[in-house]
Amino acid sequence: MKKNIFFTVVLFFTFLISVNAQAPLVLQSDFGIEDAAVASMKGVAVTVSPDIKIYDLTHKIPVFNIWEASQRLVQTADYWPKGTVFVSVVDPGVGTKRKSVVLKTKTGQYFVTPDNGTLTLVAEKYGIDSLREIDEAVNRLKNSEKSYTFHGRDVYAYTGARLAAGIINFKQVGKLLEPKVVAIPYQKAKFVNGKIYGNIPILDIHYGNIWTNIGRSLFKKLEVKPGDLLNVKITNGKKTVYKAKIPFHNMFGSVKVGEPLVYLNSLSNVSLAIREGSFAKKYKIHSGADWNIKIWK
Amino acid sequence: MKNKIIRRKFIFYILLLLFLGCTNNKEFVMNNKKPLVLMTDFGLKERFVASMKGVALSVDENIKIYDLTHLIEPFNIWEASNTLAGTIEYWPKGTVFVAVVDPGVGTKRKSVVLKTKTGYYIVSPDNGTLTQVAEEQGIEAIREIDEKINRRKNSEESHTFHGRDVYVYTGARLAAGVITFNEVGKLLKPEVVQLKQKQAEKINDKSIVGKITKVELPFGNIVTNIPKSLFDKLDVKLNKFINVKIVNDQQTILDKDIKYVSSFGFVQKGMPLLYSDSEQWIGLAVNNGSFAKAYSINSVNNLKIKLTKQ
Repeated sequence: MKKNIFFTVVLFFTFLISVNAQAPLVLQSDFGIEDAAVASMKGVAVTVSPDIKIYDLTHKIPVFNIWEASQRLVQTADYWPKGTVFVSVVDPGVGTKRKSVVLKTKTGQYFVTPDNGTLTLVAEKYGIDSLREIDEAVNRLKNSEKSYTFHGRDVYAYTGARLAAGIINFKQVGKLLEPKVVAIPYQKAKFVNGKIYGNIPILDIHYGNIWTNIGRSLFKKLEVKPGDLLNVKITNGKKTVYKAKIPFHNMFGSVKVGEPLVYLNSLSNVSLAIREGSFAKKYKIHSGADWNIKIWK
Repeated sequence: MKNKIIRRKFIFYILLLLFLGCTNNKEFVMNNKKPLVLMTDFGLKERFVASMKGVALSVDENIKIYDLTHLIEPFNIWEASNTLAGTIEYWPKGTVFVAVVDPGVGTKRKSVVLKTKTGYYIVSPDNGTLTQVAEEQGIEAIREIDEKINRRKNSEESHTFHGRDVYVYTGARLAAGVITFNEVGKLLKPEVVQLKQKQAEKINDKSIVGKITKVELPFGNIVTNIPKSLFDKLDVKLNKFINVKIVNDQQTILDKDIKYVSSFGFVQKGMPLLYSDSEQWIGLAVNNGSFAKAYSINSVNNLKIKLTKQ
């Protein structure tokens, strides 16, 4: 008898858990928030499951900027629970032959997106557990076949919501692909012959500081002390945009107001700044896969 | 004997639980509230939208609120009508929309709730906002909001924020099931204030004339009032060129042959294209660029368009 009650209780809680087994759905796009595009994606998700929890990463990715989409994903994914489903739609090739995929990372999160470079840094940072192509015969909003230009709503939000709500499992997304994504080539940080090569993935927009992908351990190989002068060269493609000798310091306050310095930012990456000024604005520096930096003594 | 009854009961409960677990019918276990979707021209820098949400949460703290957009151009009722009509069908039946672009707030315009034939509710001033929704979704019934009942208590002295005091309050009560549609107020004739819009028309075998209704930001795509169904009557095949002429009151802004394709990536980067957008309106875009910027179309006021088959 007691066993029966115990069994019932266990079953009841299993049931409760299964009812609440919804993963967060996080949306990112370059749609802006001026019109109904984002709302339509959310409406599709709520229609799939009325209790789904939807969050916005950002909808202000500069239009068509796939590199920045990739950056934003890896800047925030660490802070979301395992099982979270990210839908990222920066999709200049919508309706053409690019593949629509769901990537499951080794860390147990899902990324629903066109395979157009958006997954470059996700795959690199978290590793690919497996990659599936969205089967649009099954995983596409009903009666949306006439529309060729809004897969964010008709395919990605729909599939992401179904996955997050547990209506389909990862296998039901579609056929398994080779665990390889379209990757945007960029300069990885490296130390060669006394010089460090790296990339400027993104700016600290608010202050105009320049962030690089060169970490502390690599930087240490230069063996610099606070106050030492470093050669810094910034290129955009083949064009040299900035070249100067500037000092390395731990704090902005070590140089005079208006003067540049090299420092390590809050992520322990090599960065450039002007004390109480904007390095990016003064020297017209942007960020992206084709913005590179070289530093040597 | 007693044991047998207990066992039967036990089996019954197990079956019930399995049933609840298996059906996806959340009504058994979850609340049955409808989503509440807000659209305004209030912007996001002020407290207005937050006050509306606060009112809705005070009605029912478990209500699910979503933003359609709050960046409708101030007082632009046509844009409100158009934006609402463009998203409504992607929401579940029963969803309650609160649309507040209300330049006549406090005057005699009626405050209404429209129930569409397709089962959605729209709470709004009847000032033209309902034009396209009424046309596309059909009017099941319209009721005038009875402000004696359906108005936030102690808000009578405020005459300029019905979005907060009347519309979201009524919308939230409807979405949460605190009131039924019948309790909104008295039934009106099933018609709404219509914004007059000249329809696009086919003027001969080869040409359609219409107007430009919107520059779609952030991409800079141009939307026209020419529905794909009308365009199809020209019988243009994909990848064929169409002559596109855009004029304002004084001059021709654009006269160009542009390729008709199904999506942006079917022309080279930087090239213009004509396509049917995701709401099945004919539009113009530049692959990986902005049509509006490329052809200096800053305002859609009085811009006419003519499409001619080659």
